Amino acid sequence: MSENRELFLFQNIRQVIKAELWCVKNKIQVRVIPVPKPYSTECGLCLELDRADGDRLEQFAGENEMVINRIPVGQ
Amino acid sequence: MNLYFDNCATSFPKPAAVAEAMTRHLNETGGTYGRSAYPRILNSTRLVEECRDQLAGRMGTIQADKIILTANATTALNLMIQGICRKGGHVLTSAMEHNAIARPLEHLRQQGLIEWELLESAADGSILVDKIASKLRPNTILVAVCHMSNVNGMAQSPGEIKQAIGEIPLLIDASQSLGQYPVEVDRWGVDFLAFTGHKSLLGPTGTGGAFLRRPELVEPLVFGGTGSGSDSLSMPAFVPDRFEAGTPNITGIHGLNAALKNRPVACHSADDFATLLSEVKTNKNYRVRCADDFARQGKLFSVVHQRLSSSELAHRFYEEYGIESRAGLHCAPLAHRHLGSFPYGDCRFSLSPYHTVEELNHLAKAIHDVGK
Repeated sequence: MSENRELFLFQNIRQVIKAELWCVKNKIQVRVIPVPKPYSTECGLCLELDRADGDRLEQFAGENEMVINRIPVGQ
Repeated sequence: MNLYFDNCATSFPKPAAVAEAMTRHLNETGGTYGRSAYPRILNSTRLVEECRDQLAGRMGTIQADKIILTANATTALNLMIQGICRKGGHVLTSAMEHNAIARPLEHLRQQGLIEWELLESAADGSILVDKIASKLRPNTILVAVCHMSNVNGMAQSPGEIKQAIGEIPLLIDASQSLGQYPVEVDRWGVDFLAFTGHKSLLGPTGTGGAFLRRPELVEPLVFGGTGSGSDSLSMPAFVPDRFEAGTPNITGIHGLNAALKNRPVACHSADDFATLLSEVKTNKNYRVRCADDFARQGKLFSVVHQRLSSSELAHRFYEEYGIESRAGLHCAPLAHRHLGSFPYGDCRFSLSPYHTVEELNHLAKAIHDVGK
């Protein structure tokens, strides 16, 4: 994985899919992937995207009362 | 001709896309909800969430996250009624209730947990909103009302009811109304709503759910795996997971989503239906059960014949005119008591958007001829 990427962890599947859909609509390249081993998540899935887009997604998550965990890849 | 006039029981036909979506899921795509990241499961999960968003639009809320999916409206109503009611509570309901609300309330009363009573209503069952305040008590914990009667099609005014009860939670049973009549939970301030997928929404049986604006007031009814918070033995605190234990009816939800996205344009107008109702009312051998105000009329009505029983009526409609209708109490004994047709019930006709003017005319003729 590129060091320019980061992971977004969510509470549940609903939020993962909602965030993914928002990324697609806003032309943000995103992948739904399994949560890597070091991290615990509520639902087993997370989003991987460019760090440059992370702030936009975090803002969307905040506006929609999503509880997220934002993790730079490689840490 | 489509002579099926029992759409209140379950809608038929469905949009062709419903069966196509369900067959596709069963035979081609497969996949459950969440829990893994391979494409089959992701695509299925995306579709479930699309359905939740479609439902939010249909019921007039921006809070799709607070919609939970259940097997039917009865399950959703039990979740909310049993999950909200606490010992010593007092519940108000309407004279037009279906047993989906009345029986859970009566069960809780028999357990010694709550008291419940009826709100005052006009002759057609519409709640007298200006009388609500006199029924409220300090321990009133819930007002639970069916939006549209499944006996006479009269629609209540949830926004006015909510204004009259203030912060007391309002639960609306939209089993008949959602899909055929305006539902605007955000504008009305409705706290809880139950719906089914297989009636006016034209989806398959085994689908339905609830909207919970105030989920913190509700205890879960079913406990189990949610694919979230799995490190804990307690149910998650967040929605919809808190109320969605177990694998959902994925195939059915795919069908419901297809129904929501492929709603047919009605083959008859409101005026056509009004004309039918007016014609039926001219027959003096019937008492016609409908809303006093046509603006509050859903696409259903029922009749009581002065001589024939409801079962005899329904039998003759089928034998002589091929019309499938519904006789009896329609699981709504309270409504029939209020309307004066208990315990014999009446004969109900409920329309589909697929009915044409020709088919409505056939129904009008059948009602006229059988009623002679």
